[in-house]
Order: sequence, then C-alpha cells, then structure tokens
Amino acid sequence: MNRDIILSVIKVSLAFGGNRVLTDVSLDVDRGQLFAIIGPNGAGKTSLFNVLTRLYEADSGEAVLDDANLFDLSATDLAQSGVMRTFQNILVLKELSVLDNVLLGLHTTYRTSLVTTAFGSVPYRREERRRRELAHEALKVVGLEQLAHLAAGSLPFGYLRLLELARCIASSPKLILLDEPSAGMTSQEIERLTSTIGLIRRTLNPTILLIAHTMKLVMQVSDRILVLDHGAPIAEGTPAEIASNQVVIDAYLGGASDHADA
Amino acid sequence: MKAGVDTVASSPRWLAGAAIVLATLSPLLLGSDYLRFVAVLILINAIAATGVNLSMGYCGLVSVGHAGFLAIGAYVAAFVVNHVSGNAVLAIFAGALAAGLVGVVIGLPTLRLNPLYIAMVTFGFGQATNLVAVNWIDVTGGPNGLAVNAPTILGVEASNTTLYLIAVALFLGSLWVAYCTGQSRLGRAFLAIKESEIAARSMGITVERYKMIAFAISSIMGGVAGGLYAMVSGYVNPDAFVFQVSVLLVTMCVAGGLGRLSGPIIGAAILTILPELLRPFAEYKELFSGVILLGFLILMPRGLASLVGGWIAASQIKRRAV
Repeated sequence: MNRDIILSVIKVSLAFGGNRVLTDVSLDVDRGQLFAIIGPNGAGKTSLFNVLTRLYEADSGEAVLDDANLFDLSATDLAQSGVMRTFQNILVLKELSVLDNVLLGLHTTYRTSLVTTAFGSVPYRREERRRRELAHEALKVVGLEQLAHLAAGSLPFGYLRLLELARCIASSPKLILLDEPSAGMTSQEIERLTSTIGLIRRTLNPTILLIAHTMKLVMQVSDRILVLDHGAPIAEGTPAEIASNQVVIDAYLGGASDHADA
Repeated sequence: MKAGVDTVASSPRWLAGAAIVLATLSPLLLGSDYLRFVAVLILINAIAATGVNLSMGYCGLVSVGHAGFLAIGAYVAAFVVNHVSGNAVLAIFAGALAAGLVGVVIGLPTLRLNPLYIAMVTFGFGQATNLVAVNWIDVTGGPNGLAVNAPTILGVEASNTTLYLIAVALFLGSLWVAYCTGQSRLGRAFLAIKESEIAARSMGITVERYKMIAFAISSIMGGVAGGLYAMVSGYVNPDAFVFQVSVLLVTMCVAGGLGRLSGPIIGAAILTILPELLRPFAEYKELFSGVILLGFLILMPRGLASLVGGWIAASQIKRRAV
C-alpha cells in the first residue's frame, strides 16, 4: 500500500500530575483526508490538539509532520509550517474588524520588513493590499464577506466560529485542526458549516483534523474517525465502520446513530 | 459601530486633519510666546503618549516609567547640542536612538515576565533614571539641572518658529508611524498579543519579538519627546521626568482612549491645557490627574476618542454599505 501520510502520531502520552490525559495515542492521517476525533467530554481530544499544536508538551511518543519531527517545532513555528487551528473557546479579537481578524491568519505570509511596514512604504502597502484580497476570499468561502468591516465582537456566536475558520484557511495551510467548530451552533448553522467544510476541501484540499460532538456533521464529512475514551483510542475506521462498531455504540452513541448533543 | 474598529481601519484623514488644524492655528500660536510654548508642550506630550499607547494600548505592556525614556532623550540631546553638534534635529535623533537602545536593553529580560512585573520593572527604571539624573552631576548638572545651548539648524540658530515647525514635523511623523504600525501586521500582532498570547502564537506571531518591537518604538518616541523638550525649553532638570510624568502619560492615553490612534493626542491636549488653566491651583495638580485617571477608568474606560471613534466607525460602515 502506497499511502501519502502527512501526519503520523506514534504512541503519544500525556499526564497532568497523576491524571493520565492521553495514553499511547497513535494515528496516521493521509494527505487531503478529513480525519475526525470523537469521544465523550474529557476523553482528551482537545489535549491531543494542544499536544499537536505544541501548547502542551507530550510526556512520551512522537509526531511526524511530513518529514519534520513535529515536537521540534514551537507553537509559533507551526503557522509557518502550514499548520493552523481553531479553538474550542473561540479566540478572535472582538475589537478588531472581521477582516483584520482574518488578516491575523495571514501574519506569516508577509515578506516586507518591519521597518518599511512601520513607515508605510509603497512595497508594504502593495503587499497589504494583496493580503486583504486573500482575506476577502477566505471570508467569501465561509460566507462572511458582507460583514468584513464589522467589529468581530458584534457577530453572533455561530459566525465567530466561521470567522475563526476563515482566519484558519486564509493562508492555505496544508493541515487544519478544527476544535469543535460546531459547538453551540444551531442546526441551520451546522448545515452551513457542513457545506463550508465541503467547499474548503474542494477548493483548497487541505488535510483536516476535526474534533466534534455533532455526530451528523462527523458522519457526513469524515473520511476516517478515531474514537478516544479516557485518553486512549478504542476504535478507528470509516464512518460506516464506527457507526456499526458495537463498542462505540455501547459507550457513546447510546444506540442512537444520530445523536447530536451540541 | 462597536468602538475600536477605527484602531485599525481608520484612514490617514486623521493625519490630514491634524495637519490642517495645526496649520490653521499656527499664526495664532506663533503670535504669542506663551501659546506657542503650550502648543509645543502638547505636541511633546502627544508624541510621548503615542509611544505609551503603542506599547500599552496596543500590546498590553503597562509602562509606568516612561518619563525615564524622556529623560534619556532630553539629556542626550542636551549633551549633543552642548558638546558635539549644535544641530537640533541631530540632537533629537541622538536622544531618540539612546532611548531606543536603553528600551531594548530593559525590554530583553523584562518582556518575558507577566504584565504586573513589567509594570514594576518600568517603575523601577523610571525611578533609577531619575536618580541618575539627580546624582550624575558632571553630566546632568544634578538637581540644579542643565542649561542647553541654543540649538542650530543648518548652522543658523534655530528661531522659536523653527523649533515649533520641528515639533510639528516630529509630531506628524510619530503619528504617521503610529498609524502605519497600528494598521499593519505589527498593530494586529500587538493587539493579538494583548488579547491572547496563545492565539497570537498559533497565528505564527513571535510574541517576545513583537513585544520587543512595541517597547522599542515606544521608547524611541519617548526619546524624541524628551529631546524635543530639551531643545524647546533650553533647560533640563530631573523634576521634568519624575514618576508623576509617567503617570500623566498613562492618564493621557486612558482619558483619550487606549489602543486608538487619536486617544493619546486628545488626552495630551486636554491634560496639557487643563493644568495651564488651573495654574492658581497648581499644588493640586497630581490630585487632578489622579482623579481624571480614576474617573475615566471607571466611567469611560474607552476614553474620549470612543465618542468620536464610534461615530466614525458608524459612518464608515454606512459608506461601505452604500
């Protein structure tokens, strides 16, 4: 089998004091795949994201991103390496405009020097204009382009998640980590999110790691699903395999295949 | 409509507006030595407060020792005029450079600390600088201060009008840099760091580096303001750079509106003019500035600029919607 693996996580473990958060978690993600991680609250999903985005230091294990050792990179290096994420608790700058928030996601793509930037030189202005176009395009993908100049703080909750998504994709990263993008969304907003994720995959073709509680979303968009329980993987497979996996059904889906608790 | 949008989306019309106001007022200001001096004081304070605003208002680095950078700028500029070259502009640049270098040296170990400690270190820095000014008598003249020779421009002694024009030019220059910084990835990075360092890092923002840049620009502007003060007043003494001055600069930012381009300028204008009007009550000066700081923090934490800013943001949205 000739797989093109972009991210390989090998036996990663993490503990906070005596509290084991992740135990020997391994996964391989193919390029262009949408790989979902599900499990009940406290299963360690976000902790795994935080390990992979270098906010937490794993106690043991390895992670390989393309040919690089992921754990050699810092949280700041990741954006430069084409890895972007969203946050479960939404980190957008409420005082800034929607457009400026997306421009933050393009931070590492600027090439003009900081001195020429501070003095407002012509090359910087040209670059800024191009970045603004990119930001507008990203907003168009998530459907927020009409709101580009509003303060982000004035957007409703569901839109903030879409804004984070736009910020995440603006730089066309190769790997995107979405931490519960559907949490707190209405079913209408979830439908919109589902089609937006589809659009992102068709146009940008990034690899996506997705954490979500909304089974409808997960089952619809995922190529592959990993189930975590108490920090340990208990099942992995295609949506169909997971949906019919007795262990998973017993533990999480409670027999209902369309259980949306978000 | 929400306040704050204009921090980044405001247009250079601010700059044009400031230039037009200054140009219109100039004949009046230049007609009276007193008015001219007050006007220049406002410009000096506005430059310094703009610096404080960049580090504190944008990047969240509380500085309560900024008078220290003004002192360095002033004494270095005075030294240059008295001993190296009489050129006013050269002297001010030397002062700004020195303040910037000291800012970097202070910032390197400090900016990794949490905000509370940054405030403490900047406080200590301000006090230490003042003590040096009081005690290094050979260079600073000690508590008696230092007379600054009349500065020159192109070999000719700079007239009051020339110095006024230099002040205007430096003010507009600082405003321009603050505007470009605030509007660019620099300003966005500063604001992101203030809001959430984790978010900033995941956007690829090198947090320590950008804090350093904010602090450096801020201290350079402090140095410019100090150097300008030395040139204009012709006399430098430690009393001009005490702790109360640092607090006053912060008050200007808070009263005008932290994190807004126009905030420190509005604040500087009001808090420079007010003490002049209240000269008969000069002994209560600190009380006034304390009450104003508290009052704004409690009643109008977004500052006076938010009144104007909200209106501008609203009109911008309306225009774009058309």
